[in-house]
Amino acid sequence: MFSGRYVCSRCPRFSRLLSTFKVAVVGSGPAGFYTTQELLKSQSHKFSVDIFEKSAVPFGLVRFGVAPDHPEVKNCISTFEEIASRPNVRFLGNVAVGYDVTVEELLRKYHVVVLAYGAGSDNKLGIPGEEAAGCYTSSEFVGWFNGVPQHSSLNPDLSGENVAIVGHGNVALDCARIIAAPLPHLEKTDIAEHAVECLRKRGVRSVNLYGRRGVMQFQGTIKEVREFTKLSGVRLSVESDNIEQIKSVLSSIPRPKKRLTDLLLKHSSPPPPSSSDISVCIKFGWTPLEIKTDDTGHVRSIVLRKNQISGDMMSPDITPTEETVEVPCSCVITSIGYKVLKLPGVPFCDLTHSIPEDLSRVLERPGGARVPGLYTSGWARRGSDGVLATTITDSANTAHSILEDLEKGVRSVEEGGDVSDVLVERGVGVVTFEKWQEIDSLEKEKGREKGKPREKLVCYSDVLEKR
Amino acid sequence: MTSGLLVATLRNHIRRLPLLNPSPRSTIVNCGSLITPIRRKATSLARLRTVSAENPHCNQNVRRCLSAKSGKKTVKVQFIDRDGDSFIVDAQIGDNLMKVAHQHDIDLEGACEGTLSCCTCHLVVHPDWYDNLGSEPCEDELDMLDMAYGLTDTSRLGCQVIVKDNFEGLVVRIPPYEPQYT
Repeated sequence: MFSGRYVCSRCPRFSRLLSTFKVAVVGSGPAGFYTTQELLKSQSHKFSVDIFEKSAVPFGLVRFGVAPDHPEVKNCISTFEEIASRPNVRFLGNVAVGYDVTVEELLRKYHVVVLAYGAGSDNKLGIPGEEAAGCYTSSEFVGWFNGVPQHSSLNPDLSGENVAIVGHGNVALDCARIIAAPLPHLEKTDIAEHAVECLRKRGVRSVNLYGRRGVMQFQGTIKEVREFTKLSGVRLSVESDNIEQIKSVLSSIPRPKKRLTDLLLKHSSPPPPSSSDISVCIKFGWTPLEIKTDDTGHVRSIVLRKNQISGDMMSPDITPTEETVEVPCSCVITSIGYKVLKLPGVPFCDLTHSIPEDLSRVLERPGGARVPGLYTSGWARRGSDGVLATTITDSANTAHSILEDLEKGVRSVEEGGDVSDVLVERGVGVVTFEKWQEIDSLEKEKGREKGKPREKLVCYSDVLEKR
Repeated sequence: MTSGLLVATLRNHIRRLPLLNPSPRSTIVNCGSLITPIRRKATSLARLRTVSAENPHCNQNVRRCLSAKSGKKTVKVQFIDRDGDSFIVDAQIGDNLMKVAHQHDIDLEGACEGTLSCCTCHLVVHPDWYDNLGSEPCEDELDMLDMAYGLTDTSRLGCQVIVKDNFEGLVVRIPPYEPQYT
């Protein structure tokens, strides 16, 4: 016999012990994998998890968003690989949820469906000339240097001297750094080879980053700013009004904001007039009005309006002035955040561009009834804000809501019938994790030939069967 | 179904249950109960103590699973996790606190694997200990700490604090996750 407690077959705890709850996670980026990890940590519930990914390759922004010269940030991939290799976890790549299989179908087959598909659409300025040749969104530009297949032919024009970037977040800083960094800094990273070839021929001497607000509203993080100060051949400077006013409030603000603001203000002196360095200048209090083009329809300049920043520097009044300036440039990159995409079958608020939710539980509409079994996590839930640590926290909170709900009751789902059979019937070429590992090995092998950690494939058809 | 047959059925079924977390960092501590296998990962000491009251063999398992691998000199370090549960572990001198936590299956992330590229191994050091760690945070560590939720004056990144022989009795706390709001 055994020692320990005898439990009745009708006991909910007993039922849970013998039940495996089926989870579908939509998206294989950090939110998808960390939510999976948090669920699998549970001592009270067992899960089998299918992670769906519309790309043929996993890991979302860790692969396609993190800058190539930040390889350490990608170390979390080893955690993701370990999770994906567990017998109760399955990766299904090249499956577009909402199209190849509906959310409703997933809710019929899985006890829990987690929407962790990020924020995949660029915010737009909505100004004339934004669609001109030579004007790129940050998704396009980052996707280009990070080997996203559909952006591999972007061929951005970096031949001119001046590049204008609109935005002051980490993505904008990444774009500026990749454009301005010395080639040796980039050549041995996993940057896409077509990007290296383009950067070798760059004529850029100056990159200006324009932000609407003030120094204390700067969205980038201190590490990314400090990086510019350590890059050879790059000269960082900051242009802002109200410097003295900002300095006067520094001592009373929390440490993180104080250190960041200190660092920015340290570079607010005008740079020396002539230098062989590429200038990267962060300019505060400018709103873009128009992108002007030449006769061929290519970007030739950007028109910006000066904003007055006044009042409390932590929460200032931003007031348009009459002052405008036209800055010649041959390339504009807009990096002003991302929107969550509307997925068929998922409740969506068009006004806020968000999935209505309460503590990760998806609602039929804002403030409305719950959609049983449907949850959201990561940028798909919060919008495009936060780093890995934020997403880990969010994933833990999502898992908490899921576990809380499973304690109260379990939805009935269809028994039998694997979703992969349905996908095969529909002609979807599902990419398994083993298939991804073949791509992974091939990329690493090609990278070794060039002294890079990997050479990203921009076309997977050689490795995969055609769909 | 008779009770005896039910028990036999249960016993056979449970033996075939797959490990929930078959990762290298996680093993089942078998305290003699076939019905309630204890997962070492994120299992509170309090729960282990409860089970040990039912099974006197459990104490040995508790000590075994919490003791360091053999060989090097160790000091006792106390981690307080997000639930407020305490783990007193043998930390090898020369290891960093993130590695110590991982070795003992304490629920501390470390996404960038100790390369000063994230803040997920954020620990709050007991104020009595902060100035006795033998090192101060460098600029890069402060930069990453600046992004951590629940930052305190005695916060450190676990991957940057190296266990020294004067760390006997060190207490560190894993800060809570940022709560989600309605």
